[in-house]
Amino acid sequence: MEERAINLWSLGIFHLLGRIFINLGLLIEGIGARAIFLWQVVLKLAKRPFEVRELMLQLYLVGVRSLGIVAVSGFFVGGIIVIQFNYALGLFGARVYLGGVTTSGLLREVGPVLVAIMIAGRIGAFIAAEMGTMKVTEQIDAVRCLGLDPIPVLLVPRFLAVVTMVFLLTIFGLIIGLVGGAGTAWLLLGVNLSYYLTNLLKLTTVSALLLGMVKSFIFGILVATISCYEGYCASAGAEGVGRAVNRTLVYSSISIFLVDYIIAAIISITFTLAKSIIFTIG
Amino acid sequence: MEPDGAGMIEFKRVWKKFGSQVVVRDLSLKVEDGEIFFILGKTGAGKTVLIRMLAGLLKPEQGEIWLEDKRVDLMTEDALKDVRRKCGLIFQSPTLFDSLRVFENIAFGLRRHFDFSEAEIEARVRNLLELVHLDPQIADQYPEFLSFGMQKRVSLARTIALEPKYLLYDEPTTGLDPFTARQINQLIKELRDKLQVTSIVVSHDLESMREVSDRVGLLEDGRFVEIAPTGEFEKSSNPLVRRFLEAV
Repeated sequence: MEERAINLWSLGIFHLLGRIFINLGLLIEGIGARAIFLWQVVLKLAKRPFEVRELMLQLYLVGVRSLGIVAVSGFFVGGIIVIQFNYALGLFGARVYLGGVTTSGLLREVGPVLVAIMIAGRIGAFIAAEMGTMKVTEQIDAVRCLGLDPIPVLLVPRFLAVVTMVFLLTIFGLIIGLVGGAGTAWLLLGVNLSYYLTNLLKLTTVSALLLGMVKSFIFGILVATISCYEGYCASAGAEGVGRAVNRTLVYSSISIFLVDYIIAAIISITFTLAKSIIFTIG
Repeated sequence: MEPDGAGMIEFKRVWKKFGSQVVVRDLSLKVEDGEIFFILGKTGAGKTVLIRMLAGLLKPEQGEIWLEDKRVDLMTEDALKDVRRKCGLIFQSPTLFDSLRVFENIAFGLRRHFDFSEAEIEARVRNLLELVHLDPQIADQYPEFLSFGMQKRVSLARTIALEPKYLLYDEPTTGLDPFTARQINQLIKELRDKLQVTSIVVSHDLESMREVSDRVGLLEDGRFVEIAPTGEFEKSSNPLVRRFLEAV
């Protein structure tokens, strides 16, 4: 009886290990497929004729139509961060750093992540649904049958629009977030505005701004690749389109957080290493 | 080896399967210049697969597919672009781009393949709409506001805008009322005469076959069991042909 239980247990372990390896293999295959797709899109970025009309339309749809939602969320997120930091810094008597700390956090982390998640939800899902519908209703095959390559005609303009607009909307969102933070600090928390702004300029570094920009560029590529790929590879009718939209949202969010984590970890490790090297040399 | 004889389109011992299911088996066919060849067959006989292979949307497992002097089945996706311009495929569903107006749908290929001015494109779109018996006024409408028959004709206009030499119709009259189906049949003949195109029509519509075809092939279980001029086909003593004609 006991022997049988051990056998079943060991079988369970093998089953579990097998499943883990299979899922790991599928994960690597999935990442590889999306990387190859990104490469195909990049290769066709400069392909003539340029789809200028389509690019302009997509820039408008992705950018101009997202201004409102980015402005509203940027304003409130800026305000919320200030309220939270005001309480935490107050515990240590360090409210004097409020402007600098909140702005640095907004530039480095919250701003780029927030805007990318908003665009993934609003535009990424739309692109996946649009491309997916075109795929399952044979409109993409129709483009092929007109002697055209669907990647430069349909995907490149959407890809460029998402990457460009995530970058620009992040800048816009950060500005609005700063205004929201400063406004909240001044009007709601009674912080002296000139004090707040002086600290903001003192503690906010160019590297924080650059880091935020680099992140927004990478996040834009992630959202654009995932949404275009999921839509373009959709299958099995309406259900397949639904799955493509769902995957776009889930994969975009996970990849944004994962990449953000990796960047933060790399910077932290590099910083610690650099410090220890300087200490050793010194 | 290039195709022998005068066949402009030729399938040589072609096999195609999806998974373990063989849909085209050892099929050979030659379509002559300027004719309307009609492929009859029940659902799942492999009719659509055949014209999709010719347009390069599917690759055969074995065999050769020739268009003029070029082997389509060996071509890369880039090389197929020229084949697809020459060989217009009209899908069973209209496949119009639903986010674009009728005008932009028809101009889609024109803008990307030719260096026409906007005025020239407008004039061409108008002519194409007239050619498929549609009022040019509908150019400003979105496809969703058109009837199914009108959408099929817009799709046809979009395809012929590229001046193809071959037209492949996939179930052109399916889902249409008898009156509209007759208009489409008339159009297939008119386009052959006006544009001098070679056409392959895939359908199970006998009325359509009688109206438009020069030759007919009956596809059964992935291969042609009879190929004959339309008049002879209807009189064929082949039991498979008799059974199909009686069943339909």
